[in-house]
Amino acid sequence: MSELVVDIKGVSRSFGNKIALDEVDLSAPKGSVVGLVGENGAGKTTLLKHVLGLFKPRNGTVRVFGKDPVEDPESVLGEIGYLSEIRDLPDWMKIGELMSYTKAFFPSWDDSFAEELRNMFELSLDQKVKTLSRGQRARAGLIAAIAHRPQLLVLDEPSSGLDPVVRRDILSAIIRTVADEGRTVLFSSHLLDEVQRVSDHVAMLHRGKMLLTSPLDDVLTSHHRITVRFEQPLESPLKIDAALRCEGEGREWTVLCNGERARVEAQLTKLNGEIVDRAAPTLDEIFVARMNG
Amino acid sequence: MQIHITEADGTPFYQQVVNQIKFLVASGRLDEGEQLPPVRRLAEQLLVNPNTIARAYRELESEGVVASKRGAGVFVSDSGSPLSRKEKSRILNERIDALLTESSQLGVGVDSLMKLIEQRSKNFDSPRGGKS
Amino acid sequence: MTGPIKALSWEFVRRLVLTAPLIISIVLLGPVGIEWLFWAADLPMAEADIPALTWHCVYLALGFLLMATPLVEAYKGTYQRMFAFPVSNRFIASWMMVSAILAVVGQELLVHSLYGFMLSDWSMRAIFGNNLSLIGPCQPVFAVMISILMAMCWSLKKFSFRKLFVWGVLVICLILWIGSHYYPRGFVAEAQSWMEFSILDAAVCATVIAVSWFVTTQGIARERCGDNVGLSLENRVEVMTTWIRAIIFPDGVRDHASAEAAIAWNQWRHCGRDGALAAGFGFGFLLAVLLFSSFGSRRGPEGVVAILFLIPSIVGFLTGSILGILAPPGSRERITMFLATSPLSDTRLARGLLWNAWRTTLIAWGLVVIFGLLALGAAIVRGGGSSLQVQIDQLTRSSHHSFGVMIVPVALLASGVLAWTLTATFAVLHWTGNHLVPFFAIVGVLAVVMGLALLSFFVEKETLILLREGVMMVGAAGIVAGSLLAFWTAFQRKMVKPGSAALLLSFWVVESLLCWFIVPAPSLHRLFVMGVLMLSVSPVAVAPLAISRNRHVA
Repeated sequence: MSELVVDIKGVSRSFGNKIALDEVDLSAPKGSVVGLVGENGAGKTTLLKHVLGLFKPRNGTVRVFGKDPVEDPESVLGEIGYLSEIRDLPDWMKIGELMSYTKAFFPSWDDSFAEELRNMFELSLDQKVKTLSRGQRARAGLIAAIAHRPQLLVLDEPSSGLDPVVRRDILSAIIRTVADEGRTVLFSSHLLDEVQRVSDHVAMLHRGKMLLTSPLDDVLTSHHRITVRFEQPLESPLKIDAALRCEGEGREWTVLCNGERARVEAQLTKLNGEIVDRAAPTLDEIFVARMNG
Repeated sequence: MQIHITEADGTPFYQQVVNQIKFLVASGRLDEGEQLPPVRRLAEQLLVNPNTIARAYRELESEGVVASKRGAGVFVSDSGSPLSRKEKSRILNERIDALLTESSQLGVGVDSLMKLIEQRSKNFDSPRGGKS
Repeated sequence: MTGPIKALSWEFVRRLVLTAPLIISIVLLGPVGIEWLFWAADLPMAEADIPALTWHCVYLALGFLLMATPLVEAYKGTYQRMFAFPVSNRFIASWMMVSAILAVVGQELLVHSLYGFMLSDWSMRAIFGNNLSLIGPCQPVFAVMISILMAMCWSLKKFSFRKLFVWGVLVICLILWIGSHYYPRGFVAEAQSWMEFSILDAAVCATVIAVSWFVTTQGIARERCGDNVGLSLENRVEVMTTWIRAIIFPDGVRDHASAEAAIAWNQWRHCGRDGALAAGFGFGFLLAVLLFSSFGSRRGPEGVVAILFLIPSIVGFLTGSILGILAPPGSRERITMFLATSPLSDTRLARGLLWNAWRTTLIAWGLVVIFGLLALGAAIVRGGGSSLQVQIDQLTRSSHHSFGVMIVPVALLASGVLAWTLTATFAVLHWTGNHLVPFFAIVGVLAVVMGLALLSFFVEKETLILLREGVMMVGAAGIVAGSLLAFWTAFQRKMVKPGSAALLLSFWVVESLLCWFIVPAPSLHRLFVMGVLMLSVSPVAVAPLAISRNRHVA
């Protein structure tokens, strides 16, 4: 069992009446890419802020690199590269100033690597953040986050609202990070195709509760999508106990289940349904099924 | 090396990579002894987790399609090995099954299908000029 | 048109409810602060007669603060939303002008009546002349100023030097017109309060407002269809400053000496530099005007001293409030993620912020001092060296101390300490992330002052004096006790080293000792000032606590 870079146990947090997190566990083994998925408002940002030490856990524990990020922000944050959807880079700063500013905090800042990234992203030193487009801002934030080669990369909805070219840059950065020996990535996204490509662990948050945390392969192989055809069109929507979600109309229906394939198929056969197809669902389909289930 | 992977396929990514590399080898687009791109570079190109590529390479190696040379990288093995012939049959069988399913659904019988194949092969220009 | 008006009114009131209390508090601070100082120094107000014009200047200058909010908003862009709605340009112009005028005149009336409540008759007469009615020339004059400023802003969004010249001429005419009411017999004679508002005055105001409305409508029409892009005064100024900066700082990017230095640099560029220059020049100019006009009077220099303390206090308060804001005012956050995710402990982050606070205060105060010294010099030249001697003699006589010329550096030092104290206190209070804390601090102080003022109607003088002294003692003791508690908490959480704490406390001891010799008797006043001076060192220890509370939401 490799060491855990992020180890969150039993953390809850509410804002007034609204429960943002409810006894949530999350762990990121060293060298893994953990994709945190959930709807908007599910609690992803709140959870990631706990990793950064911006929330003091009221119950439960948060350990990053084995340390408490609230008590020891210097050594914890010094090894984290952070990129968020909000992109709160100061408007008035120039790219060059941003780079020399960030450099002052991280002894492991690599000037040549930063230069290489800057040239690749086509950002000039004199451009002010204010004049950058969203995509360029994301790239600038990315340089600041990865140029010091952090041990842990934390990304909060990095691709939201960005064009495919910038998204490629961000995904490449993720892959490059993890391909370097022993570095870890924790990112939240609701672009599930990206999560499926790049993660090896997935954690699903729904209304503050962690629905599942497991290696991605296990999630994909344990869920099944069964297509069934009936002789007569159904009058009322199909309902199967063991299934997560049934979708369809008339004679053809799709059933998504988690590991209970034999039982589901038995029930379908009892209803005089003919199984026409069995396939592995995409993460997107699994997510939608579980959210609505 | 042109490989494309997609989430909509239904097969795991590593399996898609394995299948496509096998196809490239079998169809001759990858020569024997040619080096495959390093794990990291292929991962960046396809935008997938490097572990996926590593796993694909491991599986290909265990099936003898490729072999890794210590420190130098991963290379395509000699195609004369019997396993690659087995692979060719497997790939073709898959295509044939799909074709048979399709024609059965369309209500076309096996004999008509064979005639269609003959007709088409007269116009067909094989890229490698018919290997056994 | 009732739908949009209702919706816009609702929004207007909501916004005003948030900004008005703060602005009113700031404007009240001036004259009320002066009265308090006089009372605290046991000086009878009537004898320390600052010329009426000076008071007028103070009032008008502070009145401009009231005007700042609606105009800044008008210029900054809340109107953008209105462009997408089915409303005409005339409607937008009318709405903006009417709401701005209502906001400012409303606040002015409120402040005026609060002054009447909180200030002595003498101050009221000094500010408003013998005609103490609430309704007078003030309201239409403010309305005119707002409409002209608004029209200027909108017109200059498509900038040209010719336009600037025309506006300059118009503004000068307006100033002359206003001035003619104060100096009816020319500028060399005595100043008078503006008592009556004639039909002619009303006609002039109405015309100016109408013309401004028209120009504003034109400006809005241009902005709405994109005719102004890239042509505004802002753009020109930006291009010019970039060019100047490129010459002065050719290669702007350089490495930072430490992480704290980087934080300080960030905050300096973000708000410190502009805040210091604005406060320094603005209040420096104000100080110069006040000093110059009041120095010549043969009625005692206490007023001068009072001004010397008042202006740095305001500067300190404003600087502290500006530096205290660590997240954009509209956002939900209390500190930007950008700062909060710095890989620094709370202590080091606070240290960087304090460094910037120190630098900003020093520069702002320094500018004010330079202006003050220049004005003082000019006044001495005008009155001859003897007037300075007269002033010093009088001060010596009334305060039973013999300072001689030393009073100048002493006053300077004291004002600097005062500015720093206010900056540090308010900045740290804001850094807790809860902006209600400094707000209630001000409200609390004002409430106490008001309460005592109220009581003066009901109790005898001796009881009142006892009460005042009691309040002062309790206040000072509270500050000292609270500060020591804060030191102790910070020390326990390892946010301040014992060496640093000892150094800070020894600063306080030195300040207290100096205070003992400088502040005039009775010793009660000395003790009070010593207590308040604790606030010049305790924020340094409290800052990490505040940042910690802000950054790690418990």
